Amino acid sequence: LNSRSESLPGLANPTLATMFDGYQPLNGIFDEMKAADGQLRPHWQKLVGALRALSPEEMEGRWKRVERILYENGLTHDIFADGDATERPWRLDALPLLISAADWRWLEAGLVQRARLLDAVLADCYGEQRLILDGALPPPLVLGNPQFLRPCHGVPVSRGRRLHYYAADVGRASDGSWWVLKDRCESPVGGGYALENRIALRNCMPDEFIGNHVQQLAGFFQAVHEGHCALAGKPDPRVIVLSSGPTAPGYFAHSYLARYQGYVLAEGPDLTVRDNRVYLKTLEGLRPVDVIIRRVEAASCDPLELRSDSPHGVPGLVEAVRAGTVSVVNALGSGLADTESLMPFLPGLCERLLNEQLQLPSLATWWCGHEEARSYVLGNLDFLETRDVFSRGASEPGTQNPDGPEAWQVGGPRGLIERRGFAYLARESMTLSTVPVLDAHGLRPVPFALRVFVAAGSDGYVVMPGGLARLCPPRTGQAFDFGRFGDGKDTWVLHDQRAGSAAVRRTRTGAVELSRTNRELPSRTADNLFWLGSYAERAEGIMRQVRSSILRLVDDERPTEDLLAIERVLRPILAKAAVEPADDDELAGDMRIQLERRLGDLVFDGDRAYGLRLTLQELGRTASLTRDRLSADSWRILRGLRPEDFARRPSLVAPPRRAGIGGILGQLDLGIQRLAAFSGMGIENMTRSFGWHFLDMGRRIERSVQTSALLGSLLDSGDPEDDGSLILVLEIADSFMTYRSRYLLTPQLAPVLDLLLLDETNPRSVAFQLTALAEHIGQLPRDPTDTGFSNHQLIVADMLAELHQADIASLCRRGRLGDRPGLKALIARIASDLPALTTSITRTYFSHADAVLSVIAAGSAPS
Amino acid sequence: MRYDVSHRTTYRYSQPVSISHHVLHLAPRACDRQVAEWATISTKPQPAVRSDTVDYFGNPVTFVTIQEQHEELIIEALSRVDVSPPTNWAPSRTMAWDRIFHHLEQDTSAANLAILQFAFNSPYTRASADLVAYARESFPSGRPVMEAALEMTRRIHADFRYQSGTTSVSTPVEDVFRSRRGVCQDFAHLELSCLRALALPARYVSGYLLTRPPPGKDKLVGSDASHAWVSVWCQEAGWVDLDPTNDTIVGDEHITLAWGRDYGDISPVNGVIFGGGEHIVDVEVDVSPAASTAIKGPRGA
Repeated sequence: LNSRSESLPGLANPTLATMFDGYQPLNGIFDEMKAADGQLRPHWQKLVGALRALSPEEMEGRWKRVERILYENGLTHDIFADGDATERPWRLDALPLLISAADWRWLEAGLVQRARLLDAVLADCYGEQRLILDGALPPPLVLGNPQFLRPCHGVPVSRGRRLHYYAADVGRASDGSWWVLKDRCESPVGGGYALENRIALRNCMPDEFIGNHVQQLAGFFQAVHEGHCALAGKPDPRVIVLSSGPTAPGYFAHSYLARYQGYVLAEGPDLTVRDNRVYLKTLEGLRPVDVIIRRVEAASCDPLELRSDSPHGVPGLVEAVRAGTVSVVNALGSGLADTESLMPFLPGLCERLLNEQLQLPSLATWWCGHEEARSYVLGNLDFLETRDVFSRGASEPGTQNPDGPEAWQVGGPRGLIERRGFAYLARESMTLSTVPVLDAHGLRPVPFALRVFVAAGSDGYVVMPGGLARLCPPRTGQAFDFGRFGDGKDTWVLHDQRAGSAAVRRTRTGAVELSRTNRELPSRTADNLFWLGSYAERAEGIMRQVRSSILRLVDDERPTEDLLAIERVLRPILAKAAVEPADDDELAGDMRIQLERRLGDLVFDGDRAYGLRLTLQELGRTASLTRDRLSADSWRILRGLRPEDFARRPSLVAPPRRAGIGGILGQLDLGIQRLAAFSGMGIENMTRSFGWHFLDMGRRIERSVQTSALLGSLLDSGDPEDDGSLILVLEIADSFMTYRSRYLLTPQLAPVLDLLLLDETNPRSVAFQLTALAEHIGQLPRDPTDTGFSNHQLIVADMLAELHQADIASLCRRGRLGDRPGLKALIARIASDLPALTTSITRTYFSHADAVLSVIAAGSAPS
Repeated sequence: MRYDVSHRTTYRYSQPVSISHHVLHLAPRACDRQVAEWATISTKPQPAVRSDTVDYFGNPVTFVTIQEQHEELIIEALSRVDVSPPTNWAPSRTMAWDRIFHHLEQDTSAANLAILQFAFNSPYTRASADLVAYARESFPSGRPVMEAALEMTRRIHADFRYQSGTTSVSTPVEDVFRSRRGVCQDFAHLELSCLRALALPARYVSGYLLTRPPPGKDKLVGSDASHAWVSVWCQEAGWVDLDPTNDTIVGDEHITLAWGRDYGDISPVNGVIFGGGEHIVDVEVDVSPAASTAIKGPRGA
């Protein structure tokens, strides 16, 4: 299932108990589980006690389940790694990190203080700027910082707050004290990962332990929601998660979080600003937005006033914020507080702004703009890391920053630091504490850092009780960079035993208003659901056609007529996929060989529209685009349909040459079952929301296209009643059993046509699809001023009327040329009306989502 | 000199535009050498939303949103300004360039910070090692800043060819430096990159030139559209405006619209449209001495 899965220690280690007993902390380094004398720390005793009883096989079995859940949820790549080059799979370690209640209280208080402090710094920098005017903060750190967004200066923010989501990467020093390694104020990622990891890991750990001793995460997310309500000043605000789409590294986490919180996941083009207010484009029209959770870097949020080359923004957003009609969290420009260059000044700023002592120290950092610091740094360059403070966000048009956003290097450009010290920072490395890691090498201590998440609730900041620990294997001689290191670890914060286990936060929400409508459907999502349905059906159609053909090809006993039938019935799909017809050599040879070659092209070629692989790829793409609308089960089913499974074309062994293609029958069976399961989920488990209507319409239209194409193939030269075409068509359309139960004779054209074209009780017939489409269309939102029939209603009604009037006998009647003109005309009519139907639906419901956006500044370039 | 300025921008779209947002820096700002007597900005179609305010740098700015479907947009700005020439200051009597940043850093008054902020790179300015080396030729240690900046301006004028159509607003400075050609905003960004690499405050100025030169003088390059140049902080001499496109100290034939860190802060007409397909733009700028020309009423508006 999962090739990256590495076995946990097997039979070589008879019990987990011996591993826990044999675990030794590293010399002189703080270990989370064991004290220097080798004793378990008290807060680990219960968990270790429970795990000691497990056999390694049992542990491994549980672990496999965790990995499968993570994979199926799409938590597959590491969002913290920089750039594409370092893309690596996300891996979760089997053991959690435990943090005692006392440690946590300290960390929690320190991080809340830090969030308040950084928010106050932001308020000053984007307001009066007393800190730089009074010299409390060196002016270059604000005025020269690319994260200081001037258009956002003086912009009002709801409740006076700019920092709503804050994350800190913390580490523990040898003496057990916590230090902040990095503050993250722009748009901290990982909260969704922490939640997913927790849910996955629950499967592998003793239930009673989690239930009784570990603080739950749900209360935090509830508090976050209350914070959004307070921000909007209403109990049920419309909250949007603004993402830059599936290419963004954190996209799966965005969609996961959106679904968990019940928010709409949107991209820039789903939103529009009118009358200085932000609206979501939904199927039912424009809906005002109250809160935008920004998962797009601030500079890319408004091409009008911020970076003009960003396709992910919402033009006019800054003006809307200025008008006070929408809250953006974090406020645009909050990344200013990300910079490590604030660190040396935080103790002073804390006293000045909060009148408190700074509780959590920061990693030792020097700003080289001050002469004293600069000469210290220049004197110790060999031991320090340096970086250009202003390189982050240095995204000047047309250039790339080759060093990545947060490139620290050991040593540094001495000359530049001397001349332009204000642009350089230096920091010391730190020895991090270790935590036990369970892997193929057994149980061993590995250094780690922890990302903790803080959010603004309705009433002050709250800290997520848990977080994302990140292993930092000691091989890197560098200080700390969350992006560069190893596997993740879930973090469990233990309850305060003195307070008992009743400390679970129980929030009482106000009476919930009953609602039977789902979240609004952005037009673009409707569009994607429509295509998801369409691709699912297309994939099934291709698989069915290929499977039935292969079954005939691999069986030498089958008569040649069966091969002729394949040739005839698959002609439409092979033509659509632009598969090369048989050439002269092939025609001269064995027919089976050329059919295998052509089916192989259809299945294995990666770049064929209507080929199987590209169809599965599109299926996966549309599924990921609509993930926040799919149930976890549907998503898992679709994740199992992988185009890679059809990536390897079996070689044709010569002679006897028909080796390979039969080998994929198993995969085809499995694929068809998965698709059936997916459509079953749609029928049984989806509420009949607009989303469902679009999903099913996509499916129905595609099925009509496929069935009518199959029937059209029967019109080709030769009599379909003479070869095996009718049986093949019935088989592909999954109607052979029905046919057999009605007619005990060899298939004939008239009853086959009746069953697949006109019979409204057969879920595979064209008439059935059109009836379903008419019902769907009747349910779709309409412009209330438009009282007539819509264009798509008319198209479907016309097609249905045509089918109702059709008479089987006259459809089958041969014309003077031996063809069947009645049938031919009907099929042609359907073949041209179906695309017109898709176009009409697209125009009405999807088109305003892809309005072209362009920046016209270039037109007025000065000379 | 008093001038009447008219600046008319016409966009014609091949397909209808459903909604468009614009930021306009089209009303001349008031400053030491310039009195902005009046200015009007109008659009056709009329905007549904409009706000006239002042940006971070103190420039007048107008936001408009046009919400009715249109295939043509006309933006017209009319203004009258009174411009005085700068006072003469001997370039040799300005502070050594390499003392300026440190000097400014000592004083965190608001007025001083407003200068200091232009010493840092901005999205359109960035200097490679090669460009820094090019700049340093004019900036040996201890040289008076204005003297060095004048030479820098002269060298850019001499080393680079004015050629429209080879660059766009998004052409990086490095490309301009390599190809040795460009238009006024390229030269301005290039000179700003050089100056800021040396930690010298320098700002980007957007404006106009007198359209018809006085008798006996040559018409300046860039006079039939909006223009751009740089302003360098020369301590004793204050801000000194230099035009690398024409190798000149800016006098009273340059009308200032706005200043910022670079083009991105203050482009005269900026906009985002939905729909529209292809577009053609037509810009007409006319700057005439107010005494000799009657004030024109709005045309076609």
